[in-house]
Amino acid sequence: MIHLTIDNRDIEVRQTMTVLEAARANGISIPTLCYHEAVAPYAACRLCMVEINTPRGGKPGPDRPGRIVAACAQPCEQGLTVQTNSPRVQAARRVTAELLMASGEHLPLVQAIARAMGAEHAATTLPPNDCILCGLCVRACDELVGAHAISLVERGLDKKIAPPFEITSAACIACATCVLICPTGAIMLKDIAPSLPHPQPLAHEARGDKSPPQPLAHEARGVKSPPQPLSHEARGDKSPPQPLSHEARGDKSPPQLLPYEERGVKSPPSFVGKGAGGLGSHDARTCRVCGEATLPRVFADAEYLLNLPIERDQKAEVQAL
Amino acid sequence: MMTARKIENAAQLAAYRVALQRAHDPQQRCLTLCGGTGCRAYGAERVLASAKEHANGDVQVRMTGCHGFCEKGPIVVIQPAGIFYQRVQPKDIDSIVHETIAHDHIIERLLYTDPATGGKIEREHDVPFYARQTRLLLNQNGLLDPTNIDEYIALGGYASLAQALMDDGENIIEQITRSGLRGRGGAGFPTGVKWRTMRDGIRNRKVEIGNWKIQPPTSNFQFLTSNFQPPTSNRGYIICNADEGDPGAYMDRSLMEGNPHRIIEGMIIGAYAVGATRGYVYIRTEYPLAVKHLRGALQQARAWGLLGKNILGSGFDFDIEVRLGAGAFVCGEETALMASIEGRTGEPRPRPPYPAQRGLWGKPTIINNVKTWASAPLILERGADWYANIGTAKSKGTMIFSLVGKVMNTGLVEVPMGITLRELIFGIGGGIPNGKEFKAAQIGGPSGGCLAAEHLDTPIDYESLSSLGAIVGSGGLVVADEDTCMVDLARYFMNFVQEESCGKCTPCRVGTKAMLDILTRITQGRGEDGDLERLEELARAVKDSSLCGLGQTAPNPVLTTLRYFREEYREHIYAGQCRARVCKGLIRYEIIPELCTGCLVCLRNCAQKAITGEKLKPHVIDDALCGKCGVCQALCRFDAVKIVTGVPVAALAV
Repeated sequence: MIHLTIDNRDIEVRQTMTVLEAARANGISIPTLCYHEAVAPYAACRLCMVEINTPRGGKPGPDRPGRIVAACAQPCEQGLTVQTNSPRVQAARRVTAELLMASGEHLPLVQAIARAMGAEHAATTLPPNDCILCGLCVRACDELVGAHAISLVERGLDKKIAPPFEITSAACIACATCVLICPTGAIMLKDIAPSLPHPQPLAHEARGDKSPPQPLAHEARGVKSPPQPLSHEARGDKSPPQPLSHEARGDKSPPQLLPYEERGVKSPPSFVGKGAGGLGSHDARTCRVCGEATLPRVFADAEYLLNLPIERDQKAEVQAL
Repeated sequence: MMTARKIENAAQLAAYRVALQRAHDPQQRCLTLCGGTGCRAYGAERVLASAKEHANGDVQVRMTGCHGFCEKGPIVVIQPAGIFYQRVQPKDIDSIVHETIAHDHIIERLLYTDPATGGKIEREHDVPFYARQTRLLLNQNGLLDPTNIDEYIALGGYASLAQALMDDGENIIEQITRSGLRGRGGAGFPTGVKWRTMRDGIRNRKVEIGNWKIQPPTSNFQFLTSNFQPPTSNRGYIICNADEGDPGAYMDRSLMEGNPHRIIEGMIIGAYAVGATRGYVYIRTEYPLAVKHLRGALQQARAWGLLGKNILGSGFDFDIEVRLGAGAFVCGEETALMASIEGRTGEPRPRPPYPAQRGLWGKPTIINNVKTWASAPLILERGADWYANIGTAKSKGTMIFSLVGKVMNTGLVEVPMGITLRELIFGIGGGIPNGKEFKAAQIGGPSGGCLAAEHLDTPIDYESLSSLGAIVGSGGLVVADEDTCMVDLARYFMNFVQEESCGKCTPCRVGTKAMLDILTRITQGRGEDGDLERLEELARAVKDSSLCGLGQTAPNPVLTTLRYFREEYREHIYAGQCRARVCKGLIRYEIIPELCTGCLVCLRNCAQKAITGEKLKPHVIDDALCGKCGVCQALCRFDAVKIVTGVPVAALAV
């Protein structure tokens, strides 16, 4: 066990912990975006920045500013002094939020970050993009699934997530891990595996039922007689409804699915698009598999993800002790 | 070249060297021709062809590495006298061979003229450009043929290696530490400390810091593209960082082109000292000649038994592989470089763990710059104390600067640490051409800073420069005169970094773009009140919060120009004025009617058809159509076209 100081609190942790883990284990919150317990730290979003002073250089002071590092990737060290909310850290986080807003101002997650960091305006204007390049999907695919189906390609502002050569990867097993770990909903399963069917209810045998589900009898429902469809006569129709044949509709041939060019679409469905339009809905309530608004919200609130500072009632805590 | 023969021990190497030296006649006339990329661009290869044609039996013709005085290429030096001919053309070779070599007759017109005295200078070492330098790393560049290992051995090469292999690794590291050598890649980390960490890491004397989840070793790209297996049995690696990419810097290239064996020898010594078994040279694809010479040198060193299994009978195995970079500036950053060697995307990762703790393929790894490796044999040969006597208290040894931009003598300059900028630019560099005024020195490339005239007497060492907001960096030194706009210069470097950012972390990816947007607006005459404060805020945040050295140093040109040339920024924004008359949005071309003769030359040559007028009557430039190309000014023989600045064009349009 080693001792370090986080926000003037002396903390004892295991040597193998990172500063972020040590802080969270002791109820000190540090905002994160590209961090996830399940995958290796990536240190790219720069929201978890803290100011550190190592014991080798003496006591921190105004003449000895600390080093700004990413807490998620900084190992704990005996005698380390950490400030999670110094003015320098706050300024750096606010600017980072303004930079994230440049291409992600429309995203609820980025809006929440901006609110929390006090960022008001985007630092510059870039084409809107749902993807914030946190790299969680790539790490999940590599480390959790082991499929290595996607990676970060290109450089700088052109950087994006894509399968090799930007063609659907044979390595992808359509497990949807990337879809579920994505904090902004930038990846939709239908983009990855367009032919994948909507999940079907299991057959009754698979559920362990002896017989298929039976509708309750009308007596059990308190209805006196079973429901009767109205006959077509009762509806006033002379004959039962018949679908029109294509000839009757005046078409020469049965309906054909048009190729995408003729539908006025420029390219086949892409993997991860660049603009807001190409990526499906940003609404977390939308089913990410079929795109229909049926599933409950799968993702926790942005505020939870960010692990924003929780207002602590210190008096109550003292009294409880 | 003698026949390839494996040298089995140090005694054989010494005997071989003596034999080579005996076979060489010191009075043998030799025409050495600079074969650096600079001189080749001036046509050195045609000069070589002509020399081979004219040379008869008693003249040796040799193409050497870069002599450094690139301004005056192609350079020919007649050895052993050291007669220095500059700007030599193929037609001059005939007279050189028949007059200078045959009859010791000096050809006046090819000699270098000292601009200070107007006198002609005969010998290479008397040329002020060379006389004021301390050439420790570059000294052999002009003497030996880099494609022939024998010439390097004859000059004492690989003697330090033989000596090192009989010593203990601890002692070698002790010597390097005592010499005070610091990393020449720019950051200036003490080399001895780095080597010590690696040696301890390999021997597991220290517990590593932190629980590091090792990066997954493979990616889909590796499955697709590569048939290599990460070598698993190795204990550790050493890497030579030859991914030189700063605009205007080319000293690493010249060393690799001119003296590849010095680097290889340094790497073997380093590997032996720390206990590494494999080395890599990571070099840019854009340096084809350096790659060729380095590969040839490695092949020769292997054939001579100086590389590979059981080097010089010591039982030490070590080999070096050349890896080519694919054109990303960020791969000069050590963790990105390792990722690139491993076959992954060239992206940096946070440190710790430092490469010396856990580097290439998870093994302890040392990454040093070309110049650092090349310094190692020198320190062992002449002693740590000798090296520690050169330079300042904290920065030891010599530094190679590539002196470029608005300076008389452009080229590679090797000077002791602690020399002043004034000596470098006005002493060795010969001052600013065309009688212009010195304005700034941009030192350290896109990561460095702009120093003003008030800093000319500052000693150049790691500490002084960093206190001024610049860095020694790789040694790029771009001189700016009064015709350089500092805002435009800052914009140029920001544009470079923005394009080269790998895009992994937000501050560098978007922050550089945000700063570039503001700088571009200012240079276009659309600067606003508060821009400078915003620029400073962004620069500080990007400097603080970026993941790797690229982003952390990217704001340096902006911060230093804001610090030392703030007035110029303010003129751009509030007065609509660019005093250097560079920013197109802030200048107008005007014809002075009193001087214009109405000769129609500018009118006919204007690509935009912006000039109107009649023969023998003063012409007028229509500012709305003018493309600010400057052709009219260049062609006017009456100096009637002038550039006016002070009113932003945007304001005129309103």
